[in-house]
Amino acid sequence: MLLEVKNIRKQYQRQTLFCAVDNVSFSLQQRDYACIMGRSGSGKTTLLNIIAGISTPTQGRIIIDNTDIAPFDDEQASQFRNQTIGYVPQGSSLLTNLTAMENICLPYYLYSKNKQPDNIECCNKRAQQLMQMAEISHLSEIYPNQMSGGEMRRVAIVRALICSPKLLLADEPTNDLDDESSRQIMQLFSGLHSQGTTILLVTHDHEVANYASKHFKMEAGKLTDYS
Amino acid sequence: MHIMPQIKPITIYRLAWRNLAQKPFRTTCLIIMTLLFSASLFGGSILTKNLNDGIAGMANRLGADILIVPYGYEKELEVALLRGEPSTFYLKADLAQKIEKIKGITAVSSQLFIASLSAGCCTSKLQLIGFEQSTDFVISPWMKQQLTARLHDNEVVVGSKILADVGDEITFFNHRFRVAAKMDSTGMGFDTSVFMTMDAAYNLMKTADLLSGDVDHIRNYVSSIFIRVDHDYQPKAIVNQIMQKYAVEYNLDFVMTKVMISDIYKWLNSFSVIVYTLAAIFWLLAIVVIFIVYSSTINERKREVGILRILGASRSMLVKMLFIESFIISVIGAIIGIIFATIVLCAFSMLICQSLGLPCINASFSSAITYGLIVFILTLIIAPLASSYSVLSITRTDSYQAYREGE
Amino acid sequence: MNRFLSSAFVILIGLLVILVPTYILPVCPPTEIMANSHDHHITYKFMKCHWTSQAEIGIGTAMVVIGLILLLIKSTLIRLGLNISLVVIAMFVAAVPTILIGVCPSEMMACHIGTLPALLLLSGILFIGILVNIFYLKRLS
Repeated sequence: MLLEVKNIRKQYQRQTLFCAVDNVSFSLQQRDYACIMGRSGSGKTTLLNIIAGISTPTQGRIIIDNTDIAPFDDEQASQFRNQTIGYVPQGSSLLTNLTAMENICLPYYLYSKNKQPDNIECCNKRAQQLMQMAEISHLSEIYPNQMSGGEMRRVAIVRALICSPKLLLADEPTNDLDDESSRQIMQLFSGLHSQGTTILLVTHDHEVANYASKHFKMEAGKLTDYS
Repeated sequence: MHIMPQIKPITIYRLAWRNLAQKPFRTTCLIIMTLLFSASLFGGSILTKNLNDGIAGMANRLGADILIVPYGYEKELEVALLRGEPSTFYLKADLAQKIEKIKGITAVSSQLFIASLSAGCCTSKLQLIGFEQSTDFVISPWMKQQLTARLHDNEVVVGSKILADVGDEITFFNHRFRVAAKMDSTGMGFDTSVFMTMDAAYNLMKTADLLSGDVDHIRNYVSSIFIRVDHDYQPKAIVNQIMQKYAVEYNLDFVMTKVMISDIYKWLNSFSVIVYTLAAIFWLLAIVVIFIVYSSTINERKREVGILRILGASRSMLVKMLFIESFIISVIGAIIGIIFATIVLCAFSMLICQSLGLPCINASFSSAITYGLIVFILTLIIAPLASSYSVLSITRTDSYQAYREGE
Repeated sequence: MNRFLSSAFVILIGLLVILVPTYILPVCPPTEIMANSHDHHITYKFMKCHWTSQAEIGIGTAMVVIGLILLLIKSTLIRLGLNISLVVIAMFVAAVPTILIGVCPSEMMACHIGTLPALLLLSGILFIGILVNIFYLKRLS
């Protein structure tokens, strides 16, 4: 079992008590390609954030690769996130003052043990391979403000893969992209899946959901099995 | 195949640097704010130190406690002492012998001031001074090398800023003199004065036709009388005694050096208060401006910080990155400000001191370093302190929310 | 923007080179000498520094003109050439009051303690500014 989500609940105190994620449990096996469908505001993104360890749940446990991150301090949790999870956030998530290549390699260098010359070469090689696969080799020296939406999204996906994560999370990966770009991105995901990456997508788009092999539906914070 | 360039690893430090380079206008403005403080504090405190040293040096070596001048000329004497602006005034000479007998006076020496005309191209007026060698206690403490023999009538001692070396010949009113000795830098009017024997001075006045009227009895006059008072006696009391006995007969005025110097110190004190107040205002201003600029970019930065969190950066890394960023601003501002103040001071210190009319001694290298270090540390504090609120509030927020709020 | 900035910089320094020895930190004034008592004609005796200030007015004017040309011309290569000529001019700004003509040698004279350091400073600032600009233009071309 790669990912186990157990009774996750997330509440916000706004004017009233608001339950964004309500008692969600599910699990993913290695090499699964899962998709969570749902309208905007249904709590998909919040759930994804809890899985990634960026938000803390009000209640419940997340176990990734047999590790429970709840007792970790910020330092350990961050390092675990860096090395185990690849996350493609919604919207344009590239750092504008770095080139594509620098954006991609950034997560790799966040932890200091990766700065030996051998590691630098290894990182460069891996970045080049991934960029070739995503067909963005020509962008390596380009800054985000000169890229199209689809190109930015592909750079973000490659960036999520640079540390060879066990689990790839993607939040609305085809949102506000044209059909052609969407298809390219979904093909990239399919390719990654066939190479053995475990993928969890969140989307409101049925066409996108069709690429996945396992489907969940989320409504008002509640998750239901769909397939 | 596409050849990829090898990139340097992106570290937290490089990220901070890139963030600054990305906004050159904002970064420059923030650096200028810190620079204003470091330049004004460093420049101001070094200038104060120079003036202080100059005045202290003068107070230490000016052996006289009381100076007697003709009535109404005390300002002229102060100006002649401090700036070396030439002036001429006269007093009957026999007063010196009479005063000597007053109890408490240990030494009396007269001087004769002659305002020289400008002599030749590119020389301004000099103060020519005749002094009594046998009784002198005013000039000798400043001598660079002791005179081996008595000064001859065709020899002079020159101040440190006179462009002549020992052995050179210089001409005043068509009289040629040999430079017998040179004085140390005094920082005051003596630097631009030329000292000669009383006889030479009288001679010069007579032949150069500088005095109208009682030319034959010219030897009966001096310009000022320098008096040294025993430690056990109050200069004030001595002045009162002289006043009672001779004021009417000789029409006298007095300069008490302690009072003169304490007046200068008072002025210097208010000058340093202005300098430090200004520096304090710049310090606060820099903190307030940087605080506002940073606070106004909190939302913008939350997005960036949110992304870095998602990629696995820990909170302490982000705090480090943001502090390194403001630290760089402070360091650059401190260095440029200190260098700028140093250049301006080196270039114009003489001009500043001359226009203030006060003696100056250039600060030693070691004290400049000490001041530089203090200013550097105070400047270093500015940006990190001003940005700490923003840094903490940027990194405290729940990270993904941070990313979303920045959208 | 950079074209405007670099030309404004050159014009400003040029104006300062003219104004410093004449108004801001003026050189020593001429000394009056009554040469001829018959026709009450006054002749002036000028010191060295006067001629330095005259030379600096010429150099400053050249800089202002070059600055204006820099504002009007877009060609990077011509601008590069003009900037290289400014390097020589910057050296002249410093050379005139030091080796070519000089100022009064006395440390009490206004020209020695005011004008001279100010001109050397201007020369240094111009030199650094121009080098930065040349570097920038070379990267452009």
